[in-house]
Amino acid sequence: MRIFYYCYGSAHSSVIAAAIHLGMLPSRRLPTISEICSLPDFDRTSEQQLGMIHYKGRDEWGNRVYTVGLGSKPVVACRTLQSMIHLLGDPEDFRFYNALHCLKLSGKVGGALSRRYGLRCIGRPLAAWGVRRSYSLLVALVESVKEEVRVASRDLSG
Amino acid sequence: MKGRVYLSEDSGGCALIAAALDVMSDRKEMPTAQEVALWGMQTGMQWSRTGWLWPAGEARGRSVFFCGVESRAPILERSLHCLMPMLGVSPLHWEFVRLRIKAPRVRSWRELVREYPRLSRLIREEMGP
Repeated sequence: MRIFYYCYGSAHSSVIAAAIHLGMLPSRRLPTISEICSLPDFDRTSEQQLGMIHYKGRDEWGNRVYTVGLGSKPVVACRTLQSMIHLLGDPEDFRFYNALHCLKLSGKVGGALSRRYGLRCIGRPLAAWGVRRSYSLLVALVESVKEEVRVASRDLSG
Repeated sequence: MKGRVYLSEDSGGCALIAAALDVMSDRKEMPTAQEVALWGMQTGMQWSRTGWLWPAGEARGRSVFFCGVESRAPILERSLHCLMPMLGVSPLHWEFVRLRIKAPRVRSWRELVREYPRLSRLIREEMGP
């Protein structure tokens, strides 16, 4: 199974969700700003990389985890990807989860300052602070995804 | 499978017309607005499902699809290019036609029929001979 976390730019909320999913960030405590900023892909993608699918690793069940930034209309863009999968593949093997709505305003503002306006020295710590404020929502998202995936994996294996 | 996808940055009206003109290109006369609207309904296209890839038929050896993307088609095109190898399909076999013209106010069959003469002319100009 392939699991996709999507958001605006694949720089903040989807990266954090994927990191929690893969155990690179804790799910039982708040990470520090430093832990968040030291993720190799946190607050890194450029405008030209919007839409590119980034492979992050495999989870404990062997599922591949990806992130993708789908711009300002991510739900519509996600629908296009899902319809392509309906045409050419098995929709059960591809799961999409919106991480953007988990991020509170401070995280979004920090992300925009850093990625859109190039104010990294202000934007990146603000985005990380926003992630900390939104962390419980991101952990809840990942836990619900893992539960869904666990059930689906069990069903698929018979 | 080789495919051609028309993308327009609206609810899909311009992509629908472009796909219709493509699959009906063998005809001597231009399809009328009513014909295109009827054809569009037969594809299953729903205005409320912006983003869905609707099958339009065959033209020039390719399966034709159309899709309204509301905003920034290049982002979506990149995603689809990344996704295709995961589906065992080569992106080289697929052609994406990003339309410059868009009609964000066309969100129903009635509006499509009303705007068709102007949009079809502009789309024909954009697509060339």
